[in-house]
Amino acid sequence: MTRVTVTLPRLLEPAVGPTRRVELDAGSVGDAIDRLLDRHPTLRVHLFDEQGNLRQHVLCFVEGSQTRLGDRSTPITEPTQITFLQAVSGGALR
Amino acid sequence: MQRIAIGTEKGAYFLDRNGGWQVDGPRFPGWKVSAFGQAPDGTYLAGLGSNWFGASVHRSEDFDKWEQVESGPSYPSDLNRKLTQIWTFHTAGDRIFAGVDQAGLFISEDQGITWDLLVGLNEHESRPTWEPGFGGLCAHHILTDGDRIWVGISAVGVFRSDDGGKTFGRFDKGVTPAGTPDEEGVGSDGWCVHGLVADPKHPDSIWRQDHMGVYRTIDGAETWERIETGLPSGFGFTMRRHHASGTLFVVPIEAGENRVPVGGHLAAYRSTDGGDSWNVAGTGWPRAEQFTGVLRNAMDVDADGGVAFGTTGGQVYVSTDVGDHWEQLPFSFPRILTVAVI
Repeated sequence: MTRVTVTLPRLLEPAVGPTRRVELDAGSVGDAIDRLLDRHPTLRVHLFDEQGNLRQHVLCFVEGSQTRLGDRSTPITEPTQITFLQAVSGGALR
Repeated sequence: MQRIAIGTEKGAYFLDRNGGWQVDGPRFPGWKVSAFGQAPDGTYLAGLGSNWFGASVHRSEDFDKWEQVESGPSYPSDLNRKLTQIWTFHTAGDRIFAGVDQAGLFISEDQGITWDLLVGLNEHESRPTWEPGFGGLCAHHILTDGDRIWVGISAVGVFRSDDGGKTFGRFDKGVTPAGTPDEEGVGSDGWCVHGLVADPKHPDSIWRQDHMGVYRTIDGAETWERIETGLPSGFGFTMRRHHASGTLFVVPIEAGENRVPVGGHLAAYRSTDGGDSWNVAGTGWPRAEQFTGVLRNAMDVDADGGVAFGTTGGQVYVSTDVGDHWEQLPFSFPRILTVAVI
C-alpha cells in the first residue's frame, strides 16, 4: 500500500464538505478510487455516470497525466497525486 | 410568507422577511438548484444539478446545514439513461415523488433518504418516441389523488396512472400537439406541457399551461378545453393556484420563439373564476419594459396568499395578498429556476 493524495475541486463541497484533499493508502488506481468512494460515497454520482464511466466533463489526472480511468489496474508504487477537475467545457445545448 | 427559497443556475438563495427582506446565500455556489421540496416529516429537500457533475438530492432541517443523500435518484446502468437534473419534488402522504430529466419518476418512502425507480412510467410503451424539447426531456410536474398519479413531461405530454403507478396512460385529448420534429424538436406525437396544477378538493379539476396554450380539464384529464380569455398570449411556463380562494396564476410569455412578456409588459395574470377569464393581477408592476422570462417552477403560492416568482433575469416579485399588490425585491440573482414560498 502506498500513500495517495486525492485532490477534489471546490465545486464538490456540497458532497464532501470543505475537504479538498483526501489522504488514503492504495495499491492501484482502481483501489484508490474504491477507497475514495468508500470514504465519501456521495462522490460517486458526481464523478461517475450510470454506467460507471468518468463523467464526460470531469477530468482525472494521475501524477499529472490525464486518464479516463478505463484501466484502473495501474499499480501505485510511489506516493501519488490523483486530481479531479471540472473541464473547461460542459454547458447545455440550448 | 416568511421565507422565499430561490433556486438559480448558480446556487440557492434564501430570502427572509424580517422587517425588510434579507438575503442568505449563496448556498451550493456554482450548482444549479432546480427543485425544492419538503418531506412528510418536515425536512427540506433541494435538488442539485451541474454541467459537469451528476444530480443529487440534499436534505436540511433548517435551511442552514445541508447533507447530500447517498442513495439519491439514479437510473440502473442497464437502462443506458442519464439522470441530468431533479426537476420537481411532490409529497403525498408518506411518500415523496421526484420528477427528473431524462424523464422519469422516483419515489422515496423514507423522507428522501433513499429513492426507487417507478417502473410503470419509465418503461411506458411510448417511450421510444419521446424526444427532448428545448428544455430537455423532463418530468416536471406531479399531481396525486390516492392511487391516481398525473405526470407532465415536457415535449411528450400528460400521463395518468389509476393504479398507484403500476401503469400509465396518455391524456392529452383536446390539446394541440406542439409540433413536428422539424419545428420544435418535439416528437411526432408530442404534447408540450409546461405546467400543471390541481384543485386538491376536486382533483379531477386540473389546469395546464402548455406550449400551445392554457387549458382546463374537469374530468381528470380525459378531455381538455382551451381557456385563454383575457390573456395576451397563451404561451407561458408557470401556473399556480391559491387553493383557499381558487385563484389561478400564470405569467404569459410572447411565444416559444421569443420568450419574453408581450411588449415587455411583465405581469402575472390571475383568474378568479376557474380559468373562464384572466386579468392582470393587481398593481405594482414595473412601468419600464422587462424583457425577461419566468420558468415553469419559478413561481409559488402559500396557503396564506403569499405569491412569489423569479425571472430568468434574476428579479423576484412578491405579493402577500393573493396578487392584489406586487413588489419587486431589490436584488438580482442568477437565472432563477425554481421558487418556494415557505
